[in-house]
Amino acid sequence: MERRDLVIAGTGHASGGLYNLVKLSGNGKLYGDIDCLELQVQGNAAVEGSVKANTVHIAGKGNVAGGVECEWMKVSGSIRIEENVQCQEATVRGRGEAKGSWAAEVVRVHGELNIGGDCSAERMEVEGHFAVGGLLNADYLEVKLLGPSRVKEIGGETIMVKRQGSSLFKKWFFPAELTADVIEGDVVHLEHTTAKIVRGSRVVIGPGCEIERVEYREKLERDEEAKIGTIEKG
Amino acid sequence: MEQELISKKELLELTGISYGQLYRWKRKKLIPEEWFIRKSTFTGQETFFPKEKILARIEKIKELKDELSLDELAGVFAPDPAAVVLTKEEVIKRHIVSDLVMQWLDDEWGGRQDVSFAELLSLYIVDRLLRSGEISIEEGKNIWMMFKSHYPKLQGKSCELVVLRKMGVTVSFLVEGTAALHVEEGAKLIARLHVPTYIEELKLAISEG
Repeated sequence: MERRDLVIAGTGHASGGLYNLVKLSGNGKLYGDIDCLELQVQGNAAVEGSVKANTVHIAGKGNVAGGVECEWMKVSGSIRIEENVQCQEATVRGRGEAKGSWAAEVVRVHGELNIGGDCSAERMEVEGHFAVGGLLNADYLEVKLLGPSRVKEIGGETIMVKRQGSSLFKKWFFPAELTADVIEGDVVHLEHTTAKIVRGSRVVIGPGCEIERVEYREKLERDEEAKIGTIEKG
Repeated sequence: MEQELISKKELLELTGISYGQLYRWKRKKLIPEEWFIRKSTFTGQETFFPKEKILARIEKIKELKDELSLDELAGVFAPDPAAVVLTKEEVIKRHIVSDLVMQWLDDEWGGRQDVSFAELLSLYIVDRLLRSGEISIEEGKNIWMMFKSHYPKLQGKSCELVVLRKMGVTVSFLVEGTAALHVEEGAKLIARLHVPTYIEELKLAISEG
């Protein structure tokens, strides 16, 4: 079937289906699953189904009732996805939310990211705050904390969690801290993190950390202010 | 039959792999999700693995990872086999199953030339059983029939083939997942095969050929 363009300017709605370019400027709604090469949203868009595309570009607000499968995704504004996300590269500036799991090669977040299920990526960079309901599995994870964050488990090779400077008001009401049950990696560098267990090969427990138990293989560096329950070298 | 478990820490020590590798392999689905068994211990939550399976799997990954990319490896280990169709000649040429078993196929279909992966798998497993000397040809044929008619329902899932014999009567069946078996007295457990293991072997046999 031939792929045609779908353009909505202003307010409008259309049915899902097979498209080449889907461009929604203003307020658009799509009923059903869409399969397109390019999805562009400027303004407000809702898809009452799933999205399959090469590129997804949202400037404004996007709501997807199903899952998203794409090569490349860029969000400036916010996106809310009710199911799973699978993509090669995702960049979110603003707010991203997925109720299901999120699997990607590269994830970059400036702002906020909320994932209900597991998150896996080869490389993940977060500047801001985030929450992952399940396992965050990333080969390289770099977090610059700007607000309260929570992950159930983190696993990977390199895990770096640092705090960016923030205003006094924010420090009091939205402390830039990460809370996790388990953190496991080869190279682990943590700041302002509360965790039950941290396991790693080379571990740095920086300022503001509260760790119940640390298990390390090669090296452990700790900040004087960090609180650690038990330490085991294995 | 309780399977022996190994903790994540022991596993890393024993195999010499790092957390990074383990998580990478998990991400690439080289290690199935259901092998990550969570248990509470005095230090909190710990992850355990079925010892025998995970050690065998890691050995295999280490052995193959220089030749194949991780994505190719994932294909080898995926429980849902790729849509492989071989011709009968190829199967014979690569000695995947013995001529005897191949003969059954001829009797069954006569002229058909192509063999799907699932069909080949059933033959391969029966062939292995026959070669082990544990079953007779007649039993092998029954197991083959059973496997052919029931395996499609389980495709993509992990399952085990169990063969029991009591007073000379043989019964075979498929069990979804890995369940503990409690067998009545006097019955002999002839074979208990973890089907995904054979899927891997067969895939390797096909790709190497």
